Amino acid sequence: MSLRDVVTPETPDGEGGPASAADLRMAEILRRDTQTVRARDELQQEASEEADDLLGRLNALEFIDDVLGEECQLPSRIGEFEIQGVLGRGGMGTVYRAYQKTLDREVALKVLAPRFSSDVTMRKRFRKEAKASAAMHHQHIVPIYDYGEAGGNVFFAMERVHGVSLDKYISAARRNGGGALDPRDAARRFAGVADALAFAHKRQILHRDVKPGNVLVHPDGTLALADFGLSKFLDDEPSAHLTSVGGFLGTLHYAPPEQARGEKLGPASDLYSLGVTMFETLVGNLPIRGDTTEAMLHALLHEEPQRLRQALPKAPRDLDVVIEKLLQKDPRHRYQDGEALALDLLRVAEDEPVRIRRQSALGRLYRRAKRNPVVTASLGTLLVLLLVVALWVKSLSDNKALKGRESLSNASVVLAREQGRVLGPHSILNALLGMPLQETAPDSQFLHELDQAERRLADRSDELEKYRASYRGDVLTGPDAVATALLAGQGRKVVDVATARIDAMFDAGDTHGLAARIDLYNLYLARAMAYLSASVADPEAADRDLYLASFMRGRAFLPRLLRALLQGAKSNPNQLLQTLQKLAEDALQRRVAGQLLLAFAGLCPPADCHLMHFSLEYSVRRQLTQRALEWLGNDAVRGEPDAPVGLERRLANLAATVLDDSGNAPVVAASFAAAREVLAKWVLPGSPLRGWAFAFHLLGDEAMSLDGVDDEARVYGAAGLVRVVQLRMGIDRGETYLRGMHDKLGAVARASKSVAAVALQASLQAWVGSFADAEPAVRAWLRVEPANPHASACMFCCLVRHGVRSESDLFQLATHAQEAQRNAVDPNAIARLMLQRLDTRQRIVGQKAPESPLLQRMRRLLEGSGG
Amino acid sequence: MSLTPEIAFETHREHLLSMIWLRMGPDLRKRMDPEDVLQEVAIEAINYWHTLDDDTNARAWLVTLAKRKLARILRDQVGVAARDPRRENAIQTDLPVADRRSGPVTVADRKDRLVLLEDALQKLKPEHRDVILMARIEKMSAKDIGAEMNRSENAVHLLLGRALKSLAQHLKF
Repeated sequence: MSLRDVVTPETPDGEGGPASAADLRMAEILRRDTQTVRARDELQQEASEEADDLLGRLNALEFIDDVLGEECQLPSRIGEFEIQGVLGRGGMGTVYRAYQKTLDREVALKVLAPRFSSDVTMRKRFRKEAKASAAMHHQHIVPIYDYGEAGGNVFFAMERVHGVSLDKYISAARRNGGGALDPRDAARRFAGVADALAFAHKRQILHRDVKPGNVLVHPDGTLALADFGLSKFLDDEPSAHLTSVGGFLGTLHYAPPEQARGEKLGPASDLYSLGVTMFETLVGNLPIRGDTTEAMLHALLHEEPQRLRQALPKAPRDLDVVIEKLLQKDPRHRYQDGEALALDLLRVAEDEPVRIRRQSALGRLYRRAKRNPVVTASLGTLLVLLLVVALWVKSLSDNKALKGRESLSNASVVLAREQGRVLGPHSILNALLGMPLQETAPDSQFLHELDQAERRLADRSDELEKYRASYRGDVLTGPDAVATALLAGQGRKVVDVATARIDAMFDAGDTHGLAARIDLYNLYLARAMAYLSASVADPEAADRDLYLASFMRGRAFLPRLLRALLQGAKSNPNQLLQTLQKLAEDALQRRVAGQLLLAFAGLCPPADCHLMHFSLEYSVRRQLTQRALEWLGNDAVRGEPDAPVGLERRLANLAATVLDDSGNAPVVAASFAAAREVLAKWVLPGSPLRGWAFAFHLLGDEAMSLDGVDDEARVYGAAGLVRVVQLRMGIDRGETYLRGMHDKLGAVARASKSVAAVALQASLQAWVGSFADAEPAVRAWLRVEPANPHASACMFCCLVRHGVRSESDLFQLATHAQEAQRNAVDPNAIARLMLQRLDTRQRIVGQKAPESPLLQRMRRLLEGSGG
Repeated sequence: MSLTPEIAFETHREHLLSMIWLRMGPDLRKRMDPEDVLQEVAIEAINYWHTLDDDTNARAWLVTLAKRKLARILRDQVGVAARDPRRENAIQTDLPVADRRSGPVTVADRKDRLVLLEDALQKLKPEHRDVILMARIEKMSAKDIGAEMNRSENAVHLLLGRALKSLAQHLKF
């Protein structure tokens, strides 16, 4: 008898006792692995502890599957290229192995990630760069064959190098504890790369991202440089990659100091990166290291790199000198062109002396004096004196300039470390969220370093003033102040203004340097927030701009926070909350995170909040709202639960005016005209707010255009109008009016499949339909959103209309009232709504009969709970 | 497009990497990059592709390759006899997953989710952890799991159900 025979199915592991009903049921679900979705649907309709238990288990199952990642389906073709495999993935996109049938050749097809290729301006710039790069033909440059766009993807086809990139060689060698190449061999091979750089530099093309990952090794050992010039259009500057999440140091390792300082790059910058690449190839480690991004940046700007012969004592002395020259902090002290470098590298390979070993002027003078002691003695003395004086004067000025540059470097470090003034353009955030935010004080150290730099570098005062202006966020102020536009809900205008300014900067070539980077950061961030405003409602475009803003200032808090929220719209709320808690490091950041979360959840945002509506499930919204209120405590700036906010509040007020003053034709006409103007000028077609056009059309505005108002938008607009009417249920006009629109709105609701449509249908039926129609509609809503207090309140209203005839009816009524209050963010408000329903009913029937004792008991229950 | 080892590998890449990451545990991840392990699995997949008899079994086959590779690495790197890597008790660290293919926030999300799952799995009873790893991460059939754990298929389903309940409690679902 085996253990299996002894252990019965009911006691799988001998522990925990016999299997419960839930255990058996779960086992059956697992046995039918593909039926979990249906099982979930069934369980959600049950109201039992067992169902809750099983749903928890299914959530755990789903979480595991989600964490493990999904299958990734490769495209079969892009343009004329047939995809046959993946060669690699990088920050910019994926490189596929592909076949070009028309030319019968295998290529490496690099497809840019959607976040780079979805922007029209980016695509234009990419084409320009790809065209220039494609014109270069050099044996040490991986040629670009073609470039283009297909199916929304931007791609370029390169020669398929049947080898691997140098970083793989370095990794393998590092595991074996050494360098990847013999020094003289390396010198010979890298001479070709240096020559390739010289070739490109003569054509005014910089690489800007020389690193082992971009150096391909042919099967015969020849090195070839890939991805030429393509990082330029991304403004891919290493310090912009600084993140506080694990500190992604990759690109910073190979970047020259001037790039980290945000200064303009030149050929010497590429040669610096080549020097780092050579060092790492020979030694297996980098010449400059840091455990954190900040340490790395500091080392890059202020510490001397390790000498080659310190790590490899037997390396040729001349190679040590060459690399030392390449790694000079000041680009003026490096090789100025690749050709000279290539020649010196070939001399190293041939064991000949390199040319950069020159004797000093004093050395030459000494030798001459030795040859002619009498004739040159006095002249020599004078020359020495003059030389000493000249050197002393030069050292004074060099010292001042050096200190000035140091101050500038320090300012860059401060800015890189500081998280984008915490909030970036806080006036924009104020406007988006509708709440006052304390202005963050400028970093005094940054300003101090700038002042120091200005005193020492008088010829750069214009540049320094640009830094200050950028730091202040001047790019966002002026006559077209974007914050003012957003305060009025004019997200569209902000998008246009920001786009125009970004384009102007790129067209003028004014995208280099620290000041430009800060300006771009502010503009991308402002535009992202405008995309997230209700009048635009384009979260994908916002995510793209937030990514670009992160590029500009890697440690900036606000882009990361906003992106976390956008990701959170699709994933687990628990996960979102944990992420937000980790991101917010101090009290101010926690306040911003809390207030953003409150707005994002959308249950009770401030009245002037312009953030778009995210279609989250009600229970998720409530969970997020409750957590936000816990974080914020008394500091929470909140509005009335479920009241319209921002631009929608304006539209709702105009609708209310039409309802309230329906007999006053000029007032009604003016309200219609104002609504038309708001919708035409400020609300983009993709925004749900467009649905209010349908609402005003229903109110009688025949001039209101319904172009671009699809079914979903109509449902949204209709639901908004119903809310306006419901708030006015104390006025007879309200119910009568709603009854009149009942059929039209019901048709709209039935046409859509969304939760909002179910809710609208249920609301209408509960207020004005018969019980026979209302009850199933409201139950349908409760099935979809069991935790929505309005669904419970709706059932309450439905039952009240039906009439309370027995204790059993009262019990049902009380249950729904309690559910509504328990699930509501503001229980008092929902209680008042239900009391209002009782009042309305009493007003309608009161003349015929007093309120029944049972309803009086219900009223006392609600009033007692604070309604 | 017929199934090639490259395509099969890329299709299941995310899953394999997550499995490797979890199986390695924090101790081993200090010594080796999970991406390096993944690349070695890729090389083996290419080299031994001819032994795969049915394309529909590609995922299971890749998972088996990855498990064997991990067992060898444990033997070589940790210097112990080839124990079952599932029995390794992980020590908590804050090392990030070195996924250089993602942007900043994606790395944070991915790492956070994996760490969350790993933490919760570590709190489970060994048999609960094992059945989850085998069933949901290595995608073994109930029959194969039963053979490993000396249980019937029904008992495996029951055990998995209880394990998920326990996991849900730790994940606070």
